[in-house]
Amino acid sequence: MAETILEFEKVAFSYGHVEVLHEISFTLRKGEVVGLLGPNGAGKSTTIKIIAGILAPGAGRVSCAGLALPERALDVKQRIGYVPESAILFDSLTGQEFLELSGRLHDVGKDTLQTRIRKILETFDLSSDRSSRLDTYSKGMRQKILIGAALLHNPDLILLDEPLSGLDVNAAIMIKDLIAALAAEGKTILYSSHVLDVVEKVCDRALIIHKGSLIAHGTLEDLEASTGQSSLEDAFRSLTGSKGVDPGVSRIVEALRS
Amino acid sequence: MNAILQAVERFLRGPRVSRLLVRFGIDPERYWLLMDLFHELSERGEMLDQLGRNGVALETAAWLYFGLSAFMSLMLLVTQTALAAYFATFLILTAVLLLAVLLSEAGNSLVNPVEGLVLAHQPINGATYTATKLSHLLRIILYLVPGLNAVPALAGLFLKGSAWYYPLVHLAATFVAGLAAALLCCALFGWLVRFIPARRLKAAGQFASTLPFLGMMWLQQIRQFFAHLAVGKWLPAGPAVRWGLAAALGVATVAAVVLGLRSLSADYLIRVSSMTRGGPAAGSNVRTSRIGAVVSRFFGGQPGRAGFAFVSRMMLRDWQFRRQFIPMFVYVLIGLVPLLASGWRTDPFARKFAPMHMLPHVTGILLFFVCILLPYGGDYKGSWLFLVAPSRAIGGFARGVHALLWIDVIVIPHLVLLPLLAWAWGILHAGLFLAYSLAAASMYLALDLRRIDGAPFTRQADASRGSVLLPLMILGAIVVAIAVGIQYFLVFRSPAIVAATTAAIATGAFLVTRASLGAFTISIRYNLGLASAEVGALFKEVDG
Repeated sequence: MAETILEFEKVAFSYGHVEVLHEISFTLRKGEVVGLLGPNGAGKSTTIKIIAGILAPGAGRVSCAGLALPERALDVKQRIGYVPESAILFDSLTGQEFLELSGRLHDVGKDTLQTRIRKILETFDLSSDRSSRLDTYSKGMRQKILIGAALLHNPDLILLDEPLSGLDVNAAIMIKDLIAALAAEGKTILYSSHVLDVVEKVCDRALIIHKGSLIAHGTLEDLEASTGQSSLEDAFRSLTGSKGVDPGVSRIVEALRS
Repeated sequence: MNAILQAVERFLRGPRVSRLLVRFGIDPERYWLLMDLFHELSERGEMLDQLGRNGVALETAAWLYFGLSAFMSLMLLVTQTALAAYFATFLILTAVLLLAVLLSEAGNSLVNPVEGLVLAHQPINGATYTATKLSHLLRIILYLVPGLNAVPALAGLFLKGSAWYYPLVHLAATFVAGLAAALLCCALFGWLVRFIPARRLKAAGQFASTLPFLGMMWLQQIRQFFAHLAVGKWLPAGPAVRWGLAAALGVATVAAVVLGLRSLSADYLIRVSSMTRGGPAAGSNVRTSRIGAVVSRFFGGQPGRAGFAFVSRMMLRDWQFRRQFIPMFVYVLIGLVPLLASGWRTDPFARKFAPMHMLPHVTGILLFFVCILLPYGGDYKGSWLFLVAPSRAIGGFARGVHALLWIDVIVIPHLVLLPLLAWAWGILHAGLFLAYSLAAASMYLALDLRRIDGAPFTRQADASRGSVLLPLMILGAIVVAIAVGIQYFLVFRSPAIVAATTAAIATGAFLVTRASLGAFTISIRYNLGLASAEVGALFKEVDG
């Protein structure tokens, strides 16, 4: 069995009096791609932020590559790449400058950094925009910069929170291929998304969080089999008890007519 | 000059300073990387809300303090104040003013770390990050201490008993006072970060920023309290014991500062995400304002109601607005409410001075600060919403903003006062005074509306605005004094004069409000046009 890179043991977290994670436990092993699924507000981004060392767990134990969090957050941050859910950037920096900043903060050597930046910008078709400020970038371009910044220092664990948000079809296909290639290189990827068919294509297994609790985990086949459903989407609906969208849609249309 | 600056920079970035930084747990490489980053962001207009990083704002503030202190030192020279009192005056002034500015700045840097969200997952230790954040406080001291003390230090030479080296002693002492104020501010926030839950830190930071104002206002009461305690009576009389106690107190203060600074730097970046989520809570229930319905009917329809509701809620919740306005509000509240409360029974028509004369002018000054600060907000990037609104809605929106300020700040307080003053002065005098006050405050609002430079909460907070508020307050106090004098000596001589003046001011206020609303609408459209052009600049290249 592959080496364990992340241990998440009975982790709880609250924002004020609102508990958003209730004693969640799971592990990630080297080289696997794991989907993190759940409805809006389930606690996916909070889980990822705890692993990224941005939030401290209220209870439980988290360790990454044997390093305890949040005590060893600094060392853990050197080993992870994180793409946040919203593209918060320094808008007045250029794409090139933002990538340089990110690489330098991770101690990437000068020549290696420039080579990697050049390749990332070329691959993402951003070479001609390298000197433009980020506030002139489209949402997809900003997302590409964030993905590039997360990979620059060659991390062992990559945390992707809705990475395909705003990307065009070609870029989305490229990212999916990139995820597979990185996994083949031994990188571990935690992929949070609402888009189930993408998770179905790129992930080895999935964790399903609902209202702050881990309600299911396993390979996609296991999840389908355990719920008696034929697709991940149906299994997800069955596990989270989500209703069809039709009643909600008709209520909105009715409100617009009134 | 450039060569000297370059040499200083080489020294600061050199191995000696690096070794010193390492001793404090600061990673020199990342420290300078972040310093360069923040400098570049400020140069490009992205971190203008921090005074220490905004050169123009610092220079403006330094020149204002320069003028203020020059005037003060001239007054003290003319009155031939004793040297010790002269020195103490400027030392205390420097300490209090810097404490006020630095507390506000440290609060803005530390409990509203918007840039921390971009950097929180980067491998930066807490000490390095907080050291970078707080370095700009040093820059504030380097500008404001000479601004406040250059003239007084030189002017001190003309006082009796002054030695040739007085300017050096004066400047050195005030720099030390500034540094002590900066360390105290950082330590205070260190303790707050340690003991206050992250989501309550913003409110705690705002309260902390008002402490110097409260201290200044209650200086007399604090002195009386300590005099009443008569601490000296309880202490043993021996000088050795007293010196020992003083030394122990000094050591305890230093320990509190050191521990505060350590608390500040530890695991700071882990708290950033929770801090930025914190703030005044919005109620979970959907509340419908009855005044909102009135505004919608009489002040610009649904766009008017939008302006009314948006501004009233943002004034309560926006960090940047609250940060700058609350100290002003507290200052007015603490300074004037006791005065009004103690003298409210005095009828303004009586042949002696009534504190109530100040009511319309204080309201006007408060509205002036509201209007100056209103365009700036923490969530200014939400201005796109106004860009997609139909152009004709802007006029209604502006009327809604005016309605909010007029109803909530002027009309309601006057209505609340009416029964109280009628009971004390009689209905005629109370009615006349409040009608006059309402008209005068409405005139202030009509004029102040022209100070709202763009749609509310749609521009990045500008430190240059905040830095001039204190001198403006002093100027405001002078204006209030002149206006109250004219009112007392010329207007409140008879009910007939008051009625005629009220009618004239009310008519003037109505006409000026109409013109000002037009100007306000144009200002909103103009600034939205600028924002639109900014967004539309698709290829904004950066040199180098």
